[in-house]
Amino acid sequence: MRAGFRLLISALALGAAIFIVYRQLAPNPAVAALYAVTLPDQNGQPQALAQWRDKIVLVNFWATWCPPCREEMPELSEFQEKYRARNVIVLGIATDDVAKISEYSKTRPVQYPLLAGDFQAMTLAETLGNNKGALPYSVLIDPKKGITHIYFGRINIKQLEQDVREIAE
Amino acid sequence: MLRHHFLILFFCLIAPFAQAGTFTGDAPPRILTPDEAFRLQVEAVNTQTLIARFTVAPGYYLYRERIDFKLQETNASGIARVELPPGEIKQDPNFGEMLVFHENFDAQISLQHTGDAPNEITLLASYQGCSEQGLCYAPIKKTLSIALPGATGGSETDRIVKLLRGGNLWLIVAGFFAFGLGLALTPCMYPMYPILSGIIVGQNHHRPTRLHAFNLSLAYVFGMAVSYALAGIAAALVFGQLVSSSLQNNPWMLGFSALIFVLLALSMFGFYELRLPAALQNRLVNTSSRIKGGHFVGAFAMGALSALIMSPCVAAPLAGALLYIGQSRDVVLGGAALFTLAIGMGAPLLILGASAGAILPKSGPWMKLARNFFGVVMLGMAVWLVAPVAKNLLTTSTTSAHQSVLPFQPVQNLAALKSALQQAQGKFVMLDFYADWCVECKRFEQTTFRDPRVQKLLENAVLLQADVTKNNDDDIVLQKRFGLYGPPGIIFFDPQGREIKAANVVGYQTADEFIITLNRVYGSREGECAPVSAC
Repeated sequence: MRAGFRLLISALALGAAIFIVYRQLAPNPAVAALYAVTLPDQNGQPQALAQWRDKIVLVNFWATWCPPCREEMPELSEFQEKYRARNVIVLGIATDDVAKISEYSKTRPVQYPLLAGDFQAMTLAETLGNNKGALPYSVLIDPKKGITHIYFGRINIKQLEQDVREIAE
Repeated sequence: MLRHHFLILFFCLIAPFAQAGTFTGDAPPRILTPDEAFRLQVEAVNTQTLIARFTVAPGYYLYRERIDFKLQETNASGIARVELPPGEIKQDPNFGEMLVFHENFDAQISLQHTGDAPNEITLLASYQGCSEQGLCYAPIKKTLSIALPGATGGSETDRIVKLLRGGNLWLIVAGFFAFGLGLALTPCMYPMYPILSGIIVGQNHHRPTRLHAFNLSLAYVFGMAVSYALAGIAAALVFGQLVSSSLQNNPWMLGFSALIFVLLALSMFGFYELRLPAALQNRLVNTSSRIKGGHFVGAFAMGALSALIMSPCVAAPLAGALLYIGQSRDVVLGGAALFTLAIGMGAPLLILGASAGAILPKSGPWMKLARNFFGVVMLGMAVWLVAPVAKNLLTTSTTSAHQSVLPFQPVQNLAALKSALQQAQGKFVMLDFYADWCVECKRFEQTTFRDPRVQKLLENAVLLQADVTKNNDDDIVLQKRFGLYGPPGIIFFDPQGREIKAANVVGYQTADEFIITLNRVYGSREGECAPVSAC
């Protein structure tokens, strides 16, 4: 009886340990879903998101019609420049199509890739924890640990920098 | 030992979630879900009209131009029109001024059905909004099944309901009732008192009961009212379709109708009498006296005939009223207005009936006063009609181009319009027909075009104006091309240079109405857009 109980506990502990290891290898099914996607960039070139999986990634969901999104993008662009050397990349996934984001990037260029998520964008955002259909919506991904922070709405760059430094160090 | 195992297990289990804890920490204090922020309820007023009630949480707002309604394709019905309140202007650093709703509001959706209205329709609503906290929501889509009430309200009822909503019909009808009461004070009504007295006393030669007398006079007044209502409807049909457009739009016609008003006013002042030829009037009187009194049908017919007898006397104010109705081109309004006018005129007759013929009002100088008053009103109408034309003749030389509040480019003819449209590729184009003598055009310029919301909405459009003051051949060809009889008329073209027929404006629109039109214009592009979020 006592031995059986001990066996059960050990089995559970083992299961938990395997779960943690699994998480380390494939940090999060949501993140896995993100890196399985290929989206066209502002020039219409298909980009596999997996190419950035070894970086600290800030996924920023936005739309050309969304005022707070447009407001924060220049700040994100600056943030990108500042942290490029520290293996950080911002990915702007729009709910628009290629034509819309290419038009947008001509008048308001940013220093990070813009991707046309079109209909997929909101589904992807939801997979990554956006249960409110909100925009902008950003997710910070640690290459080892998976999603560490999420940001609903207009991002606070100071907070973001602090969070990124935590991961980078 | 057991405890030790538990501890290990505990740490193993919470470790994965330790990071997850930071998730909630980063989210702003309280973000509403889209359905908490914006709620939509739709109810059917009748088979033709839906009211969509939007509830907007404090600190949140919806974009006016991103509100869209469609019917599911399987329905044999469509949406004729969606009317939204004008909204408030929101200064947006990216998009400039946007029209938004911070408060709860209603949209009115007008439906059209091929054949009978179905019992139920499926409405696809989409809307998109943001929070002042710096957060937007992806376009929200709702599919709503709405039961339509039994097919009682035709489009006519719907129109009356709409007029009533605007408060217009009641106001006009009340005005006509007061007008009728005023007319009842003129000597014109005097011959009617003995006629009605005769009917009430009738063949029985003994005094009827008060109720019977009142009912008889009611029938009499109704007879009168019905014949006036018919006149009103005729005026709306005939004037509306034949005379009104030319009347409105031609300085000579304007002058002519003003002259008629002056002549009518002079007759009111008693310079001369307007009346039917004596022979005709006598015949009418004879016919009416042959109808037996005492019966309601007789009283009704008598009323209808009396209206004809009396009309020469009240011709002046009546013609004024008919002209007014003719301009409105509205059959319902025409009928209702003249009906209440007659009821107003008949009100003293009803009092007479209620008193069972016991009292008769005395004539006196106040009757003359009432006539003079109407004469002054008529003169006022004449001045009102010619004022814009006269002002133009006095203040501007005929050749100088007029200055508009909007930066219009002039277009002289069809060829010029074509090249202007080609140059404007990629932009919406508005073509406005204008003339110096066009009263409604002036109203457009002085009110609608001055509205900052309108100016904002037109900022990125190419504005063309055809000045058809001279009404030369080019002007006529240009107007014919768009099926216009005269200004004001506004035609819109999409960025591909195609005419947006659904948005044609004929006649005056207030700023609020015009904003709705402009939204329809800009919305024509949205129609092609993918349903989800890509617009």
